[in-house]
Amino acid sequence: MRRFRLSLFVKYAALIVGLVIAVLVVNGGLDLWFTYQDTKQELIGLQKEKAEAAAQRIEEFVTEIQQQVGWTTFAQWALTPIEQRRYDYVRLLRQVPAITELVELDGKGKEQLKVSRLAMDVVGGGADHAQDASFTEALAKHVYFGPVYFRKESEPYMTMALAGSGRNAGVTVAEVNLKLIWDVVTALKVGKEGYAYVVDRRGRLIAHPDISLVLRDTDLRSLPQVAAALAGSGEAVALARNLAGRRVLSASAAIPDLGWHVFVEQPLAEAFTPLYAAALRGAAIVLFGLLLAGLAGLFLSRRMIGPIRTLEAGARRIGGGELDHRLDIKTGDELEELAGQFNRMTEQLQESYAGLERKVEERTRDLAETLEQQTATADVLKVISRSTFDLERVLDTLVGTATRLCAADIGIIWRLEGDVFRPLGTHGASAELMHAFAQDLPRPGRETLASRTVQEGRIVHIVDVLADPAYKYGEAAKLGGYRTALGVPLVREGVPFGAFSLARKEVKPFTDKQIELVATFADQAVIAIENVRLITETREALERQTATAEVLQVINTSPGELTPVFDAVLEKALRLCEASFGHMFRYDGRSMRLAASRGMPAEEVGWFREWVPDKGSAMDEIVRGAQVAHIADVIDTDAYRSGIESRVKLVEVFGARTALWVALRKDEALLGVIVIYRREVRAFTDKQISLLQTFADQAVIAIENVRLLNELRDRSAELARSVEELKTLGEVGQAVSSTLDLETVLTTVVTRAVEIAEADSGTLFRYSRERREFRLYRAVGFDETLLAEARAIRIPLEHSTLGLAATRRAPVETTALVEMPANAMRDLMIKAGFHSTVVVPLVYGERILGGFTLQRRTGKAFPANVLSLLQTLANQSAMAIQNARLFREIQEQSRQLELASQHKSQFLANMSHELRTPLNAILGYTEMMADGLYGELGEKAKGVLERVQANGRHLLGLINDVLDLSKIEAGQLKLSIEDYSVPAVVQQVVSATESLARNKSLELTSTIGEAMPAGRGDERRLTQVLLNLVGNAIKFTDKGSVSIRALAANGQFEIAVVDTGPGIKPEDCARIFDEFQQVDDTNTRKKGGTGLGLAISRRIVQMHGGRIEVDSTVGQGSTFRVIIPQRAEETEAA
Amino acid sequence: MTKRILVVEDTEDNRQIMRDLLGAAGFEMIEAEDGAAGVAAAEREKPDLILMDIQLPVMDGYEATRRIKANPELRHIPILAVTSYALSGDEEKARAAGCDGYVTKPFSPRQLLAKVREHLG
Repeated sequence: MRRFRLSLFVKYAALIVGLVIAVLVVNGGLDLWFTYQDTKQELIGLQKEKAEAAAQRIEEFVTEIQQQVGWTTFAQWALTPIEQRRYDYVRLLRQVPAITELVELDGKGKEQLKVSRLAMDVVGGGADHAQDASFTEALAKHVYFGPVYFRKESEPYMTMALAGSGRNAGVTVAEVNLKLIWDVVTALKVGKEGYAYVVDRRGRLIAHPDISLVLRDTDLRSLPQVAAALAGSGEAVALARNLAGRRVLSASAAIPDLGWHVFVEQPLAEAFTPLYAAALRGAAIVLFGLLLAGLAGLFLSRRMIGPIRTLEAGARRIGGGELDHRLDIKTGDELEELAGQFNRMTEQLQESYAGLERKVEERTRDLAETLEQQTATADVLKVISRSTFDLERVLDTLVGTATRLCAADIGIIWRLEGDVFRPLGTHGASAELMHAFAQDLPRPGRETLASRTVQEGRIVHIVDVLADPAYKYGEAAKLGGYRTALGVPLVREGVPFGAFSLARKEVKPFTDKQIELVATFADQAVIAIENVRLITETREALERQTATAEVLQVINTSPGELTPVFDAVLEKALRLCEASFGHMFRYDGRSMRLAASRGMPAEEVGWFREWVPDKGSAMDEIVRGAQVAHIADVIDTDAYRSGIESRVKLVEVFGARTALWVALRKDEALLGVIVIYRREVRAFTDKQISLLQTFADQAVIAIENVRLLNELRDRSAELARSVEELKTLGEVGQAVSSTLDLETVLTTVVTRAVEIAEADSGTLFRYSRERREFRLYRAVGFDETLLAEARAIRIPLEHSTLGLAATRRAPVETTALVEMPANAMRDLMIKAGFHSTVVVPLVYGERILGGFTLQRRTGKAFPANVLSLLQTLANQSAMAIQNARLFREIQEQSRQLELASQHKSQFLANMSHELRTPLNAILGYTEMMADGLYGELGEKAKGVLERVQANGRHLLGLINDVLDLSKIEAGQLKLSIEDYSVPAVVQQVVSATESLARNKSLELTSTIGEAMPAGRGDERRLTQVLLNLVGNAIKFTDKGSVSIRALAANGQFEIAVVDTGPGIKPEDCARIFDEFQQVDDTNTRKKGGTGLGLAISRRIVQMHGGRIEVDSTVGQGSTFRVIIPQRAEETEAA
Repeated sequence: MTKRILVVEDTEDNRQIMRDLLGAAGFEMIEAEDGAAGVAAAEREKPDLILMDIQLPVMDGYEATRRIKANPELRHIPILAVTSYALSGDEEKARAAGCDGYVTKPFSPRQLLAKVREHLG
């Protein structure tokens, strides 16, 4: 904060000072600037005037000399005699002291006359000046001013030449002393240090106060002012530096005739001396202003900041809590207004604080009260939760707390029980008062507080009971000494069932808050009362649940047994229904049988063991459909009075007075009765009756369970048997399908059959069709001796049990072997100790395969299901035998086929060899003879040899083709699939056949499509095919051409062989691909050939998955097309 | 020096052709009529080249070739199979047995001679 304030102050002060300074500086600066400009202009103007005056003087001087010399140039003058002219010259020298020499030149530049102050006059000197500048320039321009030069190193001179007028005029040359110019320049004064000087047209110094500079022939072109003047640009340079390097004010004037310039310069230091004085004055004023401004700034800032500081301090005090503080600012401006607003704001704050404090106080009071109530309620709740089952204590606490909190003296909780109100909890009531109430309990009506509250169902507030005309308990009020009473109803499910009442011993109405509090306590009381009620009910229900659960557990732990269940049921029933003894009977539709008994000595039970219900007895009622029979007092019944034995005995012997019967029924059917007795006269409550019914239901469940369990056991046993059988079938089936080893299958079958049928032995017989008899094949359960004996027996188809079963195609069973007709096997079995047997035939279709038998040592029959299972096994066995036979046959056939194939291969190889060997001799000798190995041959013999050779080759071709075809037929021709190139194949074929074509003067061409992909197939075989086609074409074509065209499209190659031969008739087109088929005419016979080539070609192409086509017109030629997949996989030949 | 060629061939006619052909070409010919005799002749005579028939009595040409090629002293001798086995796979079998060349019967004497000269370098 402090920094901020300080900076505000500084800001103000700096602003004021800055403003003043700025004004002063700008003012002083501008003033100085204008003064400077004016002064400069003035000075330059002055200098210029002086320069011009000097220039004028110099110009006048030169002009005058020019005029003086001028008259010597007139033409008439030139005609005057030389002496005259000389005289004139001398006179001129005298008249004009500045001229030191005059020379007259004739028209050719020859010196005519020379008159000088310094030398002897010369007349007719004749020196040639024709080349001098003074001569030439003067002739050209009439006047010539030469450059300034110096004589005796001290005086400036200039040559002036004037041309004469008239024809062939001469020139007068005058040397002029320029000392006068020096005088002019030196005389010129500007201030103390100002000076003037003159430069010629080349910028060289002509005159200067410092003569030495002139004599040194100083060149001033380097000075900007000189350069500007020489350039004649008109822009004079006013500020410049002189030769000495000092800054000067410069002005100049030109002498146009001579091209000279007069400069007047004055050093800046001197020229601007007054200006500097003015600047100093200005600075002094600025300083003074600064001082003044500083003082003013400080003062003003202080004035402005003061009230703000006051505001700030005040605000801080108010912020710090001093709400009484007021700002006192009397500036009469916005600051005072601001302070006023601050003060008003503070006042409002003060007011709202006061309001808030009041509210807080009130709220705190409320909170304290609520807290007290909450604490009380919490305490009550604690008590309630801690002593859930001690209702009295809970209610005492409730009423006590309510009494205390509501500043009452007496509190009582009433509950309507029947037609009277009873106190449940009290506080502050004297024993006498409670006694008085007990003597005359309040009844419903308007007479008492509690009854009125319950009747009205809302809060009843009696300000003075003694003043209430309807209030009946005036005596009690007097006894208790209470006057004002408050009653709040206790409500459960919308129905008032009691009252929470408070009373004061003085007349002082309860406040709304207190009434509200009592209502809360009343609610708590209701909850407590309800809780206890619910808990009691729950406990009872739990007890019953536990009992039934225990019974259920007994049912579960002793499945299939009823006695423990009945015992448990009876025990629980007696306990929960508070009965003395009881029985459980089962009913069989006629009589009752005792199933369980409890609470009665064993010796007395005998009487109940089994009896038929007497007519009109309770049991009879039950039998006739009643669910429950209840006799509150057995003596007080007609049955007892009329002396029905059972009833009388019940009372006289067993001391029963009250009895309850409940039927055990399952879907209307009576299963039994449960009955319990009390030895005292006390009716069973509804709850107890329904409980006994529950027990009866449980007993029924138990009975049903046992029944179901027994059924389940039977079923399970059955199922287990079935599963066993299925397993057997499965095993056998698996054996049948998994092994074709017949022995294994049949052994499995017999073994499993013995197991399933629980037989002691089993046998399997096989039937021989040839011999029409059965022989033992496998046996289970036979010892060595028995087995050997049994094996020896032949059982004929006729007159045997096996034969009978096989003929009937059904099992034959006997339980007494001895009763069967005697035969060797029967006798052996009897001898081995078997009594019963079953014989199952093995038949497949119409074919008898054998049979199997099972034997038992006992005479027990085989059950029907076992028999049917045996039949199934038999069928499976038959199938197995059949399968095995078929398998053997197939194996045999395969073997033979393989053998045949081997034989064929061998045959092919042999045939190849056998045919080639003699051919080798034939062709070998022929060739050697033809080659003259055996001496020269005659022409005729050669012809014969050629025929032999041709026929031999043809035979070889035939042999090769037949072999190929045989191999194809035998499936022995295998393609060797590799990558190949169609162009290469075509090229190979063309190379092999072009000589043939040439011999017949045929044109052989090949065209290959663009971008042929690599093919996959058997290159050698495909070449063979194409060779065959091209060979045929050449063979059958006598004139024209044979062309091969190959192209690739749609993943296929199409290779066409086109000829211009005789063509093929349509009816022959299909035939030509068959073996040994040629188009049968004289022509083809003449051409020769095996007639196998196309057949082989077609097979090879087909093996590549392609086809071969022919397209022909008789007389025009044929086209054979081979179409094969580009990438062939080997396929079986069609 | 005259080159010596062993011809293993069971057919007399074919031996005669060989005799005429090779004799006329200026070779000396050694003969054997079965495989075993061929092996013995090769060991005994150490010829410059062997023409081996395949289907031979006693021992076939494959076995004879294998035995000759198994002998380090004879291994360098080129053996040409001259056979009437012209079925596919027969050439591979011959080469597998160790034959350096393969000529099918019926052969052209001219071509056989060319092949023999080629192998004699």
